[in-house]
Amino acid sequence: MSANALALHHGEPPQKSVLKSSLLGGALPEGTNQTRPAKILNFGGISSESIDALRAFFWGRLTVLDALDSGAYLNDLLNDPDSDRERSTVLEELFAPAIGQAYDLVLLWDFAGFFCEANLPWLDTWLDALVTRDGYVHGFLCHNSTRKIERKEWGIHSKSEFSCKPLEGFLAYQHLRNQFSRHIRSFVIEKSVLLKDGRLEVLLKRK
Amino acid sequence: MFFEKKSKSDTRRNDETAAVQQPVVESRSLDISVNRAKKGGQAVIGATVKIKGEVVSDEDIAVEGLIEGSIVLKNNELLVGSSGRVHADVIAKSIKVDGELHGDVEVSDRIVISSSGSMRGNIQAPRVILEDGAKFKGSIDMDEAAPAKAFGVVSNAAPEAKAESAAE
Repeated sequence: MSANALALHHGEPPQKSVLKSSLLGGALPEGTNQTRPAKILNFGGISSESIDALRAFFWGRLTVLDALDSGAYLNDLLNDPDSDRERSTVLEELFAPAIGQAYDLVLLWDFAGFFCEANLPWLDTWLDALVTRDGYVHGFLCHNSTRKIERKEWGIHSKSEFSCKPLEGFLAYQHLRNQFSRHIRSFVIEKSVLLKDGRLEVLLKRK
Repeated sequence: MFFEKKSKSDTRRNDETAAVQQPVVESRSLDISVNRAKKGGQAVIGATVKIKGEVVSDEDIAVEGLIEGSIVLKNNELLVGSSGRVHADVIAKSIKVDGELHGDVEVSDRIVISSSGSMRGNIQAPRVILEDGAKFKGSIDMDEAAPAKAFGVVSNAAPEAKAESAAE
């Protein structure tokens, strides 16, 4: 059992750790190369540390959806054919800060892991609407479906590093690369890197 | 040293609590109830007070009630207390959110969203501090040095502002 898993087990706050990313740096807009303010959409929450890290090199607007806690509920609503009205209210609330905007980079983190395979096309539709023509989507999939993936809270530590903190529980759905690609039809996985915890870090670009 | 600091802070908190519990109704240019702690100090909008409209002040404001509309405190601080709800666009020197703030904010120094605070809206501020557990949904503009980046010009203003906030 890892030190953080032990800490969770004993009810102590888990420690943040820093992970190197080979893909994030290539996707993050960098001020010195920008000719216009860029836009980043973060499906997760945000910390002071991530804001300070972004300020060091990024010029533009960061939009925070803080949507990860609503993922499971949204998946249930998408599976319920009688929830039309409630679903549209939840979606409107969830995506309010981003509606009508297009982003150069979407940070999906583990958001796809809340949705069953049948609902991935719904995610594709939203991503298609939210990403600019040359934009990227960054997120995590799963390399091996037999290994359970712990939930984590992610952040940006530097241009090429994540910060992450373990959360209780496991991802509900572990999508493999091919399975994900079949349903996210507007995008292609341009690069992917296997992480130590069994996640597959992916960078998607428009087809 | 630590105890001195703590006791000062406690005293201030007690003053604020007292102010909230015993609101004094004072008719000013706006039809609002405020308890002015002291001249040039902090005005407390009590827990039972609701204000709709534009609030302009040259002193700090602590909100324990509800304000809807807009708030302009160019050189002062807005404190949204734990029972406070602000549904307004805010211009201020600094903001601390212990309660709920919905609206766009423009801050010349810093905004702090505490662990009990939640905010929805767009933030323009040199420093954004979110404590563990703080809830934020919206946008943060990171364009302090935009003119320099856009035109390759070195701005004098931005570094000075940064140095001030770093010194605090």
